[in-house]
Amino acid sequence: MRKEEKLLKAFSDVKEEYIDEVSFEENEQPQIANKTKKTYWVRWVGLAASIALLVFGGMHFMRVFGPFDRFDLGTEVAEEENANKGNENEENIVVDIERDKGFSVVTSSSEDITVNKGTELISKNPWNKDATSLSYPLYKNMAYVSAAGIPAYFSEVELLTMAEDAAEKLGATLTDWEYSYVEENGVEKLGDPYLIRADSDIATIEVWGNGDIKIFFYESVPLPNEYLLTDDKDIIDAEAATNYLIEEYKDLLDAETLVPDCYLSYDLQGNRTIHYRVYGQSLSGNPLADYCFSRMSFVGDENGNLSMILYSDARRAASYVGEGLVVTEEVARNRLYEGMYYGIQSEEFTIGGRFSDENIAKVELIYMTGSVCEYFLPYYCFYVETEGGSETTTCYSAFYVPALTDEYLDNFPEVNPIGN
Amino acid sequence: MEDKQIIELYWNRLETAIEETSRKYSRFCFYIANHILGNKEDSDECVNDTYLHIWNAIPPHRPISLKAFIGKITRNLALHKWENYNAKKRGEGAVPMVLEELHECVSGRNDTEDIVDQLVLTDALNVFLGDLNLQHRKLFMERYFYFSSIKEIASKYNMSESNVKMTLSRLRQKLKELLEKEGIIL
Repeated sequence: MRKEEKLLKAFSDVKEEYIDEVSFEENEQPQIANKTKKTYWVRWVGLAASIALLVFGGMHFMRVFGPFDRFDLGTEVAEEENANKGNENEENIVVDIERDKGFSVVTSSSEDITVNKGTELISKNPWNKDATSLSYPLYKNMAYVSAAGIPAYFSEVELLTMAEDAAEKLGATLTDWEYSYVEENGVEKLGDPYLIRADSDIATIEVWGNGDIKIFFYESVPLPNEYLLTDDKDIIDAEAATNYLIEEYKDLLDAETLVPDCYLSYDLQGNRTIHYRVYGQSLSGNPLADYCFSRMSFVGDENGNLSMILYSDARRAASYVGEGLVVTEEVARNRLYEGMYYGIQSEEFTIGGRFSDENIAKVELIYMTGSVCEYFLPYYCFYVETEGGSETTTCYSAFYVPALTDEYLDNFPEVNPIGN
Repeated sequence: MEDKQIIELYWNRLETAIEETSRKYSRFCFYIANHILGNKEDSDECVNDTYLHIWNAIPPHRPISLKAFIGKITRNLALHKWENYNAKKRGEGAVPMVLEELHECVSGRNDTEDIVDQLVLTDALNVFLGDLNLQHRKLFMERYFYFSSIKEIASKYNMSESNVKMTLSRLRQKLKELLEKEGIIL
């Protein structure tokens, strides 16, 4: 008998309690996290200070308005609680963090948006106000190291494996690589790589400590004229170009279906930018989580040929911690009016100087993602018209309201705008 | 019907014991068997064999956990049947892939050297499982006791498939380190 067959047989004789722990009940639903049991606390001590964040593909500055005490993220699912009695080896992930630099948040759709006047804000977010689930999965970001946002979770071998896998899917071969390590007091800490940068015959491949991958082609990949990644396309043509690239590179992202999710934005000078983006769908996954976490972007050079591919799924370095109950959009709106939000802008810069049904253009439920997030949680994102538009454009800013229900929130303070 | 009541039926040699067991655990047994054997007919046969074995085992056994007791029997029967298939180059199921994964845990300097006594191996496995947190232990048991597919595990635990694969890979590495440390793999 082969050794692995012996090992396989040994499983038949493991402790029965381990066999029992795995449930096969019909119509099993995850139990909702219960406040009175073991709790996960995230404490933020905020300052009215700008915090630079490193996000996927860009830089965002977020300010924390006022001190927040703590979020009770709930507990282990009740089923696990019952099965876990007497087990003293369960993971203790109670987190109580006091930071003196404030809490930084990053979202997958956190940009201020400037659009042509009259343009409706459209996205492919699968969330629907009338079909909001009672609960959503919550995740712990295992790659979180500090508020600086440098991710470290995977080992050197795992990062190299991911780089090799990406190279193989591109038809390339790695030729050399080097690791970058988390530093402490200016000294590299071996064993905590936050990045591998690998050279191949066609591209540099970066794999970050949370599994985010960036591919930089040495020579841009030429594209057919109709599929060039230029900024003068309309959304329909942009999605056609994205679909072409999905066919070429669909194996990179671990998802059953890739969906184009392009959008158009303007900067303050009125320059137009098309974002060629994709999100991944899995038949068995949570649609909202898939939309927010499973992401790919294609970037063109000055001629529109493909120069870069970025892709990620934050759940690769995340641990599911349970289900969290969420409030309705109406409750979230009231929280916004009461000052319970995060945002780049403050309320006073919104049109009319106050949040109102008139200046709120769009609401959607999203997950906060990014290497600076210790947990990936659901938030309501309110797009509010703000000052900064012109005769031909309208400017919207995003304001994020925690979506978890009241019993998870404790001593949520009043928000103090910057300068007060 | 509660497990204790079903066990009493066996002790009282009432044939309704099998009916009640089937009502409560037929899908559970079929799940295990089908993941190993990969076809309905053989899995059904395995499930029926399970009921016979339980009837013969209780009494004198009075299992603390009927579910675990039944699961072990089904698993052993299915694996035995799979070994026969393997010898005859038949059958499908998840066993070959699972064995390939577990090979990582036991591959040593010399693949021809044997693992020590099965009891020692089981003890080590229990220590390994006991040191895991609940979530990881469930994932590991799903895959290597129940032969659940990566896709099924991902769906059940709200994880991506790549995350499941990565987690299992890390856990296998931990098991390998433990087996080497205990001198179980020579």
